[in-house]
Amino acid sequence: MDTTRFIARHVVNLPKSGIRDFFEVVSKMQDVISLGIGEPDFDTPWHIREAAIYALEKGKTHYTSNLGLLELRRAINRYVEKNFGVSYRPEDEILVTVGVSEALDIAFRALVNPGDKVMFHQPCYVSYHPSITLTHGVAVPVPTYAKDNFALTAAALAAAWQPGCKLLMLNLPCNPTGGTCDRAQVEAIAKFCIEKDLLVLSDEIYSELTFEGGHVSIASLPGMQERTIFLHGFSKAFAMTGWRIGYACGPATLIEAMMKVHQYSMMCASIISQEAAIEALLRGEDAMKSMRDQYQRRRDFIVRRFNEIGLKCHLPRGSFYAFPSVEKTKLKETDFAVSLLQAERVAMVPGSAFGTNGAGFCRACFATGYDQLIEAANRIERHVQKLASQR
Amino acid sequence: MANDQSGQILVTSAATRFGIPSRNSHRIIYGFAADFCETDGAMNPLIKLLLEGGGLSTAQMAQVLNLTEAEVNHQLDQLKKDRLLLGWRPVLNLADEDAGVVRAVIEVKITPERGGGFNRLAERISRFDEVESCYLMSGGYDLLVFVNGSSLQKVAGFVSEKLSTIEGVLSTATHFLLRSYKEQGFLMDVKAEENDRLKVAP
Repeated sequence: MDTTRFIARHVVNLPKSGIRDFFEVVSKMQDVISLGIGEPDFDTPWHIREAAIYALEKGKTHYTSNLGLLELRRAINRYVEKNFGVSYRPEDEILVTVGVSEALDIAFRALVNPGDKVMFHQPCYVSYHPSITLTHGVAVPVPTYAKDNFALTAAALAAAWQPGCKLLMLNLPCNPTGGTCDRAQVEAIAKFCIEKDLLVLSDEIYSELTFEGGHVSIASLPGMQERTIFLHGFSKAFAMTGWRIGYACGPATLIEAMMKVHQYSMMCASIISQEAAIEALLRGEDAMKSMRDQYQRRRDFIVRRFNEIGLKCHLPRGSFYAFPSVEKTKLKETDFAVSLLQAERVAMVPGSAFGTNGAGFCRACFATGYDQLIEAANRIERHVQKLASQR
Repeated sequence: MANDQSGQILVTSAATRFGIPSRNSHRIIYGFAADFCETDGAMNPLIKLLLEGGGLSTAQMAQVLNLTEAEVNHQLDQLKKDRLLLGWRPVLNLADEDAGVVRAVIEVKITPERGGGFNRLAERISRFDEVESCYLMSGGYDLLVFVNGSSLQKVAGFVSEKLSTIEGVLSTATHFLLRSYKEQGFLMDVKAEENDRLKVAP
């Protein structure tokens, strides 16, 4: 019996993740150095894991409030105020979610009417566009360019804007490009959003991993807190990807709307992850800074190597991704990535998996050990030279 | 920060990792097992060379041992695989640093468990980044724990919040380190001796 007829049309039409295809191939090969895993190579710092173990021992196994443990929401408010300059009431302006992924999903479900237009800058994280499609919204992509180091410019926003645009999805620093915006650029974006009455969904998951120049949160700018939903989590800063814990902060009415969806679909985030998150916020700063310092050193190394090899690569101001251009090889990014994998067993994700402006680039995640990075760089160099000699 | 997946001490710098010593750092090897002899009874010459503490690079060691550098690296990798060589740490004299590292030694009494003795608790305590070393001791207490922190309050906080509260920990006695005279085989505050050896002597 053919059961596909039961599948909802909009799911049938959902594109398969470009990353997933690529990784089906990688997983079948041996001894691959993967620069394609978008998560820290560090395990969660021990004191955070231990806090979770302790919570289990003490019998913390029950449902929490839908919004999340009050103690956690208080800690989130203090953390966000200290590090992002915005204050949110723990009682009704903060929602603890199952990762930022869930926060994004329920935000779209709570805010998007069928046909509503949602702007987002690309290349971007693979789930933004599908999430918009899943909620029957219309995706309006905004290009970012290498010449701006993939920062989002108000000019590009204005060019892409159409009547009916309701939301702007921001991800700064950006996965996969490592691009981010300085204060002036964020102010320009804010001005545009106020002018066009857009609501901003700001995914700031990589913000702690901003290496130079500081991170500016759009919600902290005048007039923006009331029209921004601030999304953040613990996955990248505290190496807690598998814990599935994040949060959304915003005006009480919008958080309430998201809560309506969350209470029926999730009830609450895992209590153990919440307990661990409290520990991370209270005492995790040292470990986080240590990890960030290490990412920075790795970034400096790998970007230098890419440029030495001839794969022009800007120095990403944030995140742990480098986005080198493969133009020099005269190959399409997908062909380059596949040939690199087959010839030298190094995996990088082709940039087109992240949006049309990713064409001609590959994403390299440098959240991996120095020896892996050194070896990968050597193998890539060999491959690029071989391609040059074959032409 | 220690990556405790493999139990190794994190290598502190790329230079140390590839065996190129920086000018004034000392290196020490932790955790050599009692039985590190070759099958013919002689100590592995590479380990002997490392223990001499001369701070030689892999290239220099290769010359001394009459091996290629690749062979020396291979032997080092094998020692790591066999968990004889756990890692590298420079021995630093931080006494004058304003950065202020506070060190304490804690005597911990714990309850042994069926099927594991002291191991599970000892491992759980050892995994904290603040814990530099942890030993099972004979005598009036069970574990001797060396802890580093950035202030007295931080160390005290670690003991009262994290250590004492673990199920199975019966008591702790914290002693703060006031002054170090000798560190891992190196004397502190002793001037390097001027060596006036004659260039030629009968």
